Amino acid sequence: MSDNAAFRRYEREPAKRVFAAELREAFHHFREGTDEKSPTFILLPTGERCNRIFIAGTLTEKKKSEGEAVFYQIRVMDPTGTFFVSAGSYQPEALHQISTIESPAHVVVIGKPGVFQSPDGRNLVSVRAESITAVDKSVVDCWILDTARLSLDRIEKNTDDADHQKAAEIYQRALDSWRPKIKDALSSIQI
Amino acid sequence: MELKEIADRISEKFAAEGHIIDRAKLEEKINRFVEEFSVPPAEAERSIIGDYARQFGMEIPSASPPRQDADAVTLISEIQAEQWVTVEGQIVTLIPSRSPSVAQSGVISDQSGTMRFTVWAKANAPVMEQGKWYRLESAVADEYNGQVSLKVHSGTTITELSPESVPETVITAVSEIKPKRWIAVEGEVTTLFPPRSPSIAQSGILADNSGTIRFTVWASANAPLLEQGHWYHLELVESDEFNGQVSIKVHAGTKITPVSKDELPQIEKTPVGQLKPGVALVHGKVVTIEKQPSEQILQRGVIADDSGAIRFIIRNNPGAEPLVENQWYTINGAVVDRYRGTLSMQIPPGSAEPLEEDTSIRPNIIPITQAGPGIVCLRVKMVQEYESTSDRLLQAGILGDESGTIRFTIWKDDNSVRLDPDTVYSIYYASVDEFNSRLSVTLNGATCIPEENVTMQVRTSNEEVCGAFVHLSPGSGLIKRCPVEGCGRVLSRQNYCPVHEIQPNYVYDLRVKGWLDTGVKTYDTIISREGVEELTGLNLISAQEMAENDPLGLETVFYHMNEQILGRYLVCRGRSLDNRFFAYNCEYQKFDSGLLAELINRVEGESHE
Repeated sequence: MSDNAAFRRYEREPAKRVFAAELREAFHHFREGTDEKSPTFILLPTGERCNRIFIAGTLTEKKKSEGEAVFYQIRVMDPTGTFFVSAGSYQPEALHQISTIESPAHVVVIGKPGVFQSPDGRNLVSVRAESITAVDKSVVDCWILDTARLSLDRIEKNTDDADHQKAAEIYQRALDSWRPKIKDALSSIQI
Repeated sequence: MELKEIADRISEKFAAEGHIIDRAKLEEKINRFVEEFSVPPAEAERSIIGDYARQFGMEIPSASPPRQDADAVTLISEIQAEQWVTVEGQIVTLIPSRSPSVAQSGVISDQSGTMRFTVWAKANAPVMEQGKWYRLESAVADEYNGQVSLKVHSGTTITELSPESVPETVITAVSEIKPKRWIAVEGEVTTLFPPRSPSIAQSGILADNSGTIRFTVWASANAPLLEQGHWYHLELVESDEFNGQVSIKVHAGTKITPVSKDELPQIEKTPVGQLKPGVALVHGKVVTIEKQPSEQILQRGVIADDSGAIRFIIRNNPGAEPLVENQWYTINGAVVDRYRGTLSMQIPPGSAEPLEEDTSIRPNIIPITQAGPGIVCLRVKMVQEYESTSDRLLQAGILGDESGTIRFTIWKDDNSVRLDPDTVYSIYYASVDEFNSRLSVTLNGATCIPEENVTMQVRTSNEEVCGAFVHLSPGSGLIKRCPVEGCGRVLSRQNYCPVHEIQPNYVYDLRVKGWLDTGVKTYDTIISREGVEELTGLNLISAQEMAENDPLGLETVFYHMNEQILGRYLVCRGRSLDNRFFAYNCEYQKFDSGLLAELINRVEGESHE
């Protein structure tokens, strides 16, 4: 368990905050560098690369795979949509945590997003959970604030940024068009 | 009631397949999803059906599509393309028709928003008049170039709303104006800009008690000229957004009524510390007068009450009179503005009324970490002096108090005095500015009173990191340290110190190691015992008891902490070095309703920065 040494060599990627509505639209993914171990990223439509994300919401459904290997698929809803989250035997911590949480429950998830092609050719973004924790509603509310703030920072950021320009090229969507979704999320908070 | 219907639908669905569901349990489950966790009913239904289907080993049936009530009026802001809708709104603009197939076109508005509409000539619809309210039944929303608009065709029924069903005109507070609406506002013209274009008759700033906004009067509006310093009632102005700035436009359809002095809305007195941009009634004492007025400016200074202080400006306009130092005034119609993050207050001629009062103010001394741009009072120690880099600079350095530190500067002028190192001062009415996102306090004009024989513990290089705790690393929890003096290294499981080898007389300690993540930066964090105690409620003794009474031993403390800290938002204070952070003081972040309000404003692009 010497993850310390392992982490010191690579700069750990921050866990980006993103609402379900935005993550669902992402499909562009790339690898930084040529090394087999170099991190892979997906590019969010608001121009942020992410290798790891931190999400929160309500766990509404939990499915355990039938086969030999234990594998969970769960749905986590935030105010803007649904995250598809999974955990398999390579994520022992998450696997153990999921097994003890029953739906519905407020949860936060730390994990790595990936883009997959569905059989009918659509892109699906799903999150491989590293850990998942049942929390109070107030933590989810804090996450909504945090995610709204960081999403607005991305929207309002200087467009000279290379990732920003790439996102504009790939997704062809005005950044301000994300504002209503962020607003939906904020107005879902009941004080 | 809706929840009952969902329960009915679900139990019928499964009863048809021969599975009986416990009704009470089902209702409780739906209730939990919808009420407690605010999951939309449709999603709750889908999720619960899925659960039962799996339980009974059935194929998951697809959910029935939601039905829409045909009679219901749709808010304009909620209209989507490819929808048949009924709307009720006011015709705010009519645009001359360019094509014989179009009878009328223009913009319709309700409280929620506005939308373009087109009435086809074939519709044989009654002619609608600007300013009147209509109900359009079964109009079609469609989309062209990403713009949704309404089409009135022969199947649409148009009825004029009776006067009693027309919503009353509501005056929108300036700070609450959202773009793309047609609204009524009331405010004072505080500034007029020189004309820039022949198509614009006038432009300037309109203010009310809640805030300020830019306005434009189109030349085509043929509106009467607005005068600076006067109040107006404007009905049917269009709000708009450009570069994140909301502004209002006066059109030909806008009704302009001057508001006379006695009809002015009663403004409540605002404490100085709570002022925001807009027109305000202020009650305060002139605490400082600055020395160097320019040609345009008659006087500058600081006005204060118990809640705070603000810089004031009196422009050299006809009728303007200077204020007297140490005198109390009521200022009715002060115009508060924000410039580079700092608030200031303009006092128009005739608005300041001296008061017979002579109470002294207890200045509101705040900790350095709470200081923001504006006028502040602090109690600080001068901790460091910089070498002067400019001829105009008398002194620069760092001030500190128990909460943190801040840069200070004193410019050379007739009255400025240097501060002595390691001396504690009470500083009244100094101005804090933000430069390159760092705060700095200027002491010119402020009163600095040294205190003798006092000591102050300055918190140096104190940093605060707010973030999510995303990973708890091994080495957290109850740990054993090497007892050799000056070592204190963490021992391995076998009580082995990398320097002093086996140490059976180890000492226990509590700590958390892991990653604190702000979403932008992630810190390799160590939280010391004090911080761990604050977060977990454990202390050295209770943690040892926990470990001794559990077969997992020390690990149980680790799991206990993991459950309490992982995934939570923490506010940690300490020192950082690159991406390493040593925290000695931690708490769980609380929900900040002020931030929520700020973000709601920001998401609507209402900031005036």
